[in-house]
Amino acid sequence: MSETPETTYHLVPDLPDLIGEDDYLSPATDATIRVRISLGQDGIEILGDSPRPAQLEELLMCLRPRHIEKTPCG
Amino acid sequence: MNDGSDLPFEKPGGGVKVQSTSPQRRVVDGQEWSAWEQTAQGAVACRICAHACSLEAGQVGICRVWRNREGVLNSVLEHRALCHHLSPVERKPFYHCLPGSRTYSIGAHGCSLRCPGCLNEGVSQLGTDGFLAQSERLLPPAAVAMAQRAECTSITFAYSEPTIAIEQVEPIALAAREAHLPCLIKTNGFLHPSSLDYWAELVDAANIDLKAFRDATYRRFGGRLAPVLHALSEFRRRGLWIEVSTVVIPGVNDSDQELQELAGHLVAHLGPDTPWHVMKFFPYGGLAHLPPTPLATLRRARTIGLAAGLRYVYLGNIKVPEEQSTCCPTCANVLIRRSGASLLGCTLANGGCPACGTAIPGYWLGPCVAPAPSATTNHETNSNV
Repeated sequence: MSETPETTYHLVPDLPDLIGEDDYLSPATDATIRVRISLGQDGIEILGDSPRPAQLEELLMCLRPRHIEKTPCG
Repeated sequence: MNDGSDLPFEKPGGGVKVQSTSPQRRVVDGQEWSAWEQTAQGAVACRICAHACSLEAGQVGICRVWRNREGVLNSVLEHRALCHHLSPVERKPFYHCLPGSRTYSIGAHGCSLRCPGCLNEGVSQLGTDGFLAQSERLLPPAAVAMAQRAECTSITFAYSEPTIAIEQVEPIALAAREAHLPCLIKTNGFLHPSSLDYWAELVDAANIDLKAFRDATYRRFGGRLAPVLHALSEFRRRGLWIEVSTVVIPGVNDSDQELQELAGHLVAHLGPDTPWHVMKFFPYGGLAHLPPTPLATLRRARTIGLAAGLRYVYLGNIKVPEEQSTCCPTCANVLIRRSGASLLGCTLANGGCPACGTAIPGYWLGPCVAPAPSATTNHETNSNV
């Protein structure tokens, strides 16, 4: 099996929201991880959004991605 | 007790009164300020943050940015940035400052605090080697040119702790002011008391985190409460536009009593017109075991703030337009409508309510821009692979 290259991180200004205005009104959203999987020019792209960023990142890291894009806070 | 409401808020407009005479010394409105002092036998006393580290030769400060190199305090930050993005000014968050405008946001690295749940720990707690590997050069003329090309109306220093990054912030801020671009900072307020004049002159507005109203919590986060409260009051006294943010963390700072004391302090020392952003907490890092802040808790905090006398209390890190819009405190007319970081509409006229004429305090500088709702996002926890 070939070695998986180390994941690199990129800070980007924006990523689309998967959690909208109405979702914030529901307490259930706080236990939600939403993902959108699509096939882009560079391969499979997975967009994730959650009030639980630690678990979201853990999930994404399980996929051993080449790189992760993240929006910084602020 | 002076509640700050009779203090003027001066839009700087004119030339900045900061001159850098050496990497160590600045002249601020005619008074000299030294970022550090040499003490006995090659040691230096840092005067940048409230830790006031005393560093022997070769030692690095608590911030992990500044080091004593042969009797001179030195950092690796000059002209380097870890990230620089365009974003709505509301995302910082500033709600009474250039509403609807785009700001050029620049982040270096380093922080004087060690908050266990920091969402930006990959920026703020990155070691020097990581910073040098991941950052890029950003010279002041290029930063100003990029901001102007992108039609930004301000430059914001954010993401990490900008007051640690004097060598990066100062030359860009001075170049920006020459180009008539206001400069804003998002800061933890944990500043050395001698530096407050300097920052009040260098920048136009600050969003300051008041992370808790308990010294024990601040100590858990690697700081102390008193210097932050001092910076808030002194910045207000010096006429800097201030907005305050508090991330409400379940079980840490969300009790009625603590929130009442915090809001009461803001009213008493900064004035009832100080915008207070009560922000949703997202579990991460050392606080990943806690739940996100329930909406009901954020609403309770807002109610407490309003009951304490604050006129502008907003929910943050969430999208709830009714609790993120600015209303006239006299006639309740909705003046600025927002959803998170998106401006939905603005009827502010010359900084006041068009219906009754009540002045709304803020750093307005011209008419609001009210773009059509777009795909602009404000949720800070999404990731993409």
